Amino acid sequence: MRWRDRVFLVPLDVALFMTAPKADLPLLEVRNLRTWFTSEGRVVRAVDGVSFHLDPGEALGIVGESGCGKTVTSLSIMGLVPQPAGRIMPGSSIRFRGAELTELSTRRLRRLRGTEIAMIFQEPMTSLNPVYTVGSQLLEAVRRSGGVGQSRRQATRKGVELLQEVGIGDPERRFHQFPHQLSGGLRQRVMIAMALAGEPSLLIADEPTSALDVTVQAQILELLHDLRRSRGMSLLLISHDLEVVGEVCDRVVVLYAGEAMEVGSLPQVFRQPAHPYTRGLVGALPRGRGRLGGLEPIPGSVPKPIGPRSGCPFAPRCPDAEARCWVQLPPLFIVNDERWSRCWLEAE
Amino acid sequence: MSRGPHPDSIPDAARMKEARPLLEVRNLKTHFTTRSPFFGRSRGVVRAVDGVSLEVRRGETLGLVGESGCGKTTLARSILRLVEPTEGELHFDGEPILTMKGERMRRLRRKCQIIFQDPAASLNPRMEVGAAVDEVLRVHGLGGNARGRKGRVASLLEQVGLHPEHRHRFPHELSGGQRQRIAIARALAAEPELIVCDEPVSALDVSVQAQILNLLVRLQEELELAYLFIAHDLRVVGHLSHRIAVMYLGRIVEEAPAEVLLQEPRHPYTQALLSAAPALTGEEGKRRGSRIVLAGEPPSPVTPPEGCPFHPRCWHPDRDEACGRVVPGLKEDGKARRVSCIKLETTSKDSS
Repeated sequence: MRWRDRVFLVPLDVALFMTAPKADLPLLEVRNLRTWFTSEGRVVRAVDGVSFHLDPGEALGIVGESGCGKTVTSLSIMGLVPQPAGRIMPGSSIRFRGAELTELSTRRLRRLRGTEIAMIFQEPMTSLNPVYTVGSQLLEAVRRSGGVGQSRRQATRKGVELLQEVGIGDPERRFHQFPHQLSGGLRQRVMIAMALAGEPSLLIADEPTSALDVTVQAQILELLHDLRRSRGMSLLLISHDLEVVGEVCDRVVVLYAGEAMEVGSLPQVFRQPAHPYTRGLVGALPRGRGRLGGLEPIPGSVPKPIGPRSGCPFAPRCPDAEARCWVQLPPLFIVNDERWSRCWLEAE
Repeated sequence: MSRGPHPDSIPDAARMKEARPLLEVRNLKTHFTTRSPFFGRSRGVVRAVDGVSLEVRRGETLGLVGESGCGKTTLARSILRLVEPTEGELHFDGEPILTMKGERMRRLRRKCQIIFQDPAASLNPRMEVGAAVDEVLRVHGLGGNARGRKGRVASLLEQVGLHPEHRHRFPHELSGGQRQRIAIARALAAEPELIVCDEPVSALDVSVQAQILNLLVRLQEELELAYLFIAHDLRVVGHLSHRIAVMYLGRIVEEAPAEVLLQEPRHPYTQALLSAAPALTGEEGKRRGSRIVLAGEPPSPVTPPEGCPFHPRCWHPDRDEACGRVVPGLKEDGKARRVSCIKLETTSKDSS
């Protein structure tokens, strides 16, 4: 391969420096994020040294299988890591518009959430309060973000506008309904409307369509795409579904066992994966090419991130693993301008 | 156990057996009556399955695809009589299922097995998985004495890709994929001819999902199993089905050989379903723009629309008031395809 002769071995921080983001300052910059949990006296390294950046207006996907740390990554950014079991370890850095979030006071962090950074989750029913109408919950979001000077009438108008913006037909009627009267797709639209109330510059969407049917999923993905364009909003999309990420995102971080295995632009990463794990994921995906259209599973299963670790976490399942992989964790190697891969294969 | 010559040994019967489908479903309807929580007054009828006809042949996989609430799971359960169908006919190997009782029903239960989406929910958490497989053998009187059964359990575990020492594990000590393998081993223990797979890989990670799909394909080849494979993901279904049926609101809207259905879907709903699937890379030519995005969500099966169940969401340019009046039937359309759309009937008539 041609890019092989462009591969250098560089320390992580230098690597990050070299991948100078296109805009002057990235909106979000996560460096060496380690979020560990203590469970029954054992340390669970849910996220163990993840780094990436997100430019203004960009859509970044974080993809990985269950337990890879993708949700904990997003909770860490939002400052919502469950306490006291979880802890963002010293040395981790999360910068939003240059401000260090890990050092922010709870109060300032709370002000940031819901205004500058908003988040939507997989199951809207668990985030919506079943005993309040859609409208009253939406108003809460509008008023909290819009300051105190707003009258109830103004806030209501804003709320109805938001429902309209997220494509809810007959917004006045929906405004007065309860969450259980809405379908799953509509509930997710309401969640998005609430997230938009604070005019966020970053929307974190954690598996936003995983509980929805394909035809409804297509609607929501389309909506996210349109909103991103109309509002110039950045999107951090967390999903186990490679295809959802491939559809929506400009770049992707592939996580495995709390480590970023491959980072790069789409669709190149999925078209020509550099890391054996990414290659495995793509190969294991049924592509609708008809019966037995070549499906290559990755042997074994996802490891539990418990206890001390040595070597590459993917080594036990990797077809290309060599002796070194078992003892030493590879750094993120630069594959080319837009791609890094955490694999010793790149060192050759 | 067997008395007299087994029907299999008679050549004519054998030929009959080849010709007739293993499972035949004719106009099956399963309706549920919903009652209001007060006074038990009847509130409405949920037409979960509303006139489904299909066939599964020996050694064949029929894929059944549909979105949540379309009735695919109710159909699966009705076939095994885990819920009693309201109307229609069911034949397994030529024998009517709905009138079966006692010993014959038990025999049918052995030959038709089912695996579910969440293997953790179908395994006893306090039972070693080896014992769980052994239980099936004991219940059906298979595998002989304790020693014989022990050997059979070991070979079943091996057949589904587990080690014999896994038998002493409890379900929580296994990964999701391994638990699904145990569920499959339990199904195989009964020596079935048909396995109904209800979303067997939907809860699994991609890398493990592929393992289970390949395992199911291998077992089918080795044991000549027939599968009724139910899933919401057309591509998963496409991977192992010979034929695919698409279900919408209790009815089948299109059925065709897998390649035909995936490459040239004809029903507007099938087309939308295929087009709605997100694309991994741009190369499928499905990047935003050319996609069919359906409006709204499937209507409730309590108050299905008049006429074609799909017409309120239909995007087809030819849709008109007739669609809201006429209930389309499943019509043959060359290429071993059946489609249920009155507009397609007229266009194919015009072209021929």
